[in-house]
Amino acid sequence: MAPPTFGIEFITQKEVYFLIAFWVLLSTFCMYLFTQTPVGKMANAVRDNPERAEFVGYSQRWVRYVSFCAAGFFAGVAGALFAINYEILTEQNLNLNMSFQVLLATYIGGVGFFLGPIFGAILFTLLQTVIGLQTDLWALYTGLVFIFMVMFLPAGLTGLFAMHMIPIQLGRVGMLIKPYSKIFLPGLAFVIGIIALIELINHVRHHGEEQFMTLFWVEFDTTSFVPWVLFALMTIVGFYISRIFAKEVAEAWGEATFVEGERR
Amino acid sequence: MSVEALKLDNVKKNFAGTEIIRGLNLSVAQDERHAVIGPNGAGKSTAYNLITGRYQVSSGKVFLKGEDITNLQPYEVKRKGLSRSFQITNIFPKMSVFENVRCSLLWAMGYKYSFWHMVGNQSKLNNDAEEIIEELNLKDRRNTLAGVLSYAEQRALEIGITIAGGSEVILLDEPTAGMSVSETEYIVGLIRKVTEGKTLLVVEHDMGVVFDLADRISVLVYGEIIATGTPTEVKENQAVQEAYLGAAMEEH
Repeated sequence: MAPPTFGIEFITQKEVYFLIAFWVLLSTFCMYLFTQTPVGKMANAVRDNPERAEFVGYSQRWVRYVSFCAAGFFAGVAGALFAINYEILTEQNLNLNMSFQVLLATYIGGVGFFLGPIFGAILFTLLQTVIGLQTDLWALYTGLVFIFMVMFLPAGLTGLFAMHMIPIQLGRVGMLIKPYSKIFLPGLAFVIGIIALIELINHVRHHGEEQFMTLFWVEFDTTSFVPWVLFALMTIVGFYISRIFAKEVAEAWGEATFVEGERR
Repeated sequence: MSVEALKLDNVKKNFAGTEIIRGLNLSVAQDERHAVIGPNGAGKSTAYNLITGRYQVSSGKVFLKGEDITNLQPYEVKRKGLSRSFQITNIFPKMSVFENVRCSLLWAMGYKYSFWHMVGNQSKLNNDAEEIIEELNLKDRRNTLAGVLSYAEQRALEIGITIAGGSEVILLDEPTAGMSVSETEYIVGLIRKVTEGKTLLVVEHDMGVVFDLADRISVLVYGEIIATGTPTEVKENQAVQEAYLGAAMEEH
């Protein structure tokens, strides 16, 4: 055992928590500063257009190399904190699965935004812990969220917020409230319906011996056809109504973000 | 006699055994505005790509102010004081106009791969970027993402990125392609202004622009320079008229 640092041994949860919180905040701040340096700015430029970056005097390879070193530095901080928190490091912490999870969190949060990976990591951890307690299928839901993001929101959650800066700046955000609230209920019905169907199938296949299951705080009989029909109807009807309202949302969005003369 | 700003000495380029550039000799004097004209597929853009290190030359030499720059990397060529624009707009689309220009200034102002300067605090850097934006007439577009600018504005920004950092030799590749008459006037005025006291090599299809802008003209046909001279000389050159200019001049 190493001697305690300033009398703190970092054994209790509280001590470890504050240690990690301190380093996370400090590292986040340093990362932000990195984005404001010449090489940080050029990292953006290289991502945007690597060829042109070369023609303004920067070797894209060197820019990527420096970025990679910086990323490695912060990954090192994370690794040290991980070891203190879990007191164990195995092959699992370095395998593809782990790398994929980090990538997934980044994409869900939003690539290209400073806050993107932070939001992504928070949401991903919530999915893993909170939903992981409720259902065995959390990984499936994470995957579905990921597919949804890639298909409809390639800029991620942060990108979704950033998109709305345009109507907010133009003072037209009010135009979006009505179509958004219209699509909310059918959209919710669709999501609940499809989750319920997935959970029902999972229950019957893996816990078939238990006749009753609880979902969304309601207990029901899985052998009766009522929940099946109900959830299937919710899914189908929710989907169709959402699709109809989605057109209205798209139209309202076009109107709310239209700027005369831009993008000829 | 002062040394040429840019000199190509028997430069050749083969693509898969086909000779695209067959012995290119070109010399551009200091502070000269030199235009390269020629039909489509003559190798004008290829020549630019060879000078700036985008392609490797098969044989021959390229000299910048007497220094051999043959087959250097694009970023090395830029650091030696030669900067180019592109025929197809080549900007940083997801960055603001200001960031586009500021990034183009970084290397020339000596920041290199620094991660200890905060760009926001570098007043000379930011002032220079603002000045260039003002010169480009893009002040009210300062914070707009470059990708959503109008075509003419993007072309202006393209020129801004090229001249930022004060390169002495500027290569422009069809700066007015696809533009309306008024937009062309704006870009030509801009080119005149920002290349003052610099050496300019310009590839251009619009003969009005070429004869208006250039001190000397070279005619490139099928990978070879068939004539070089003042606009009047080139206009009267028999070979040029036959090969290219005759058809183009009738349009103007």
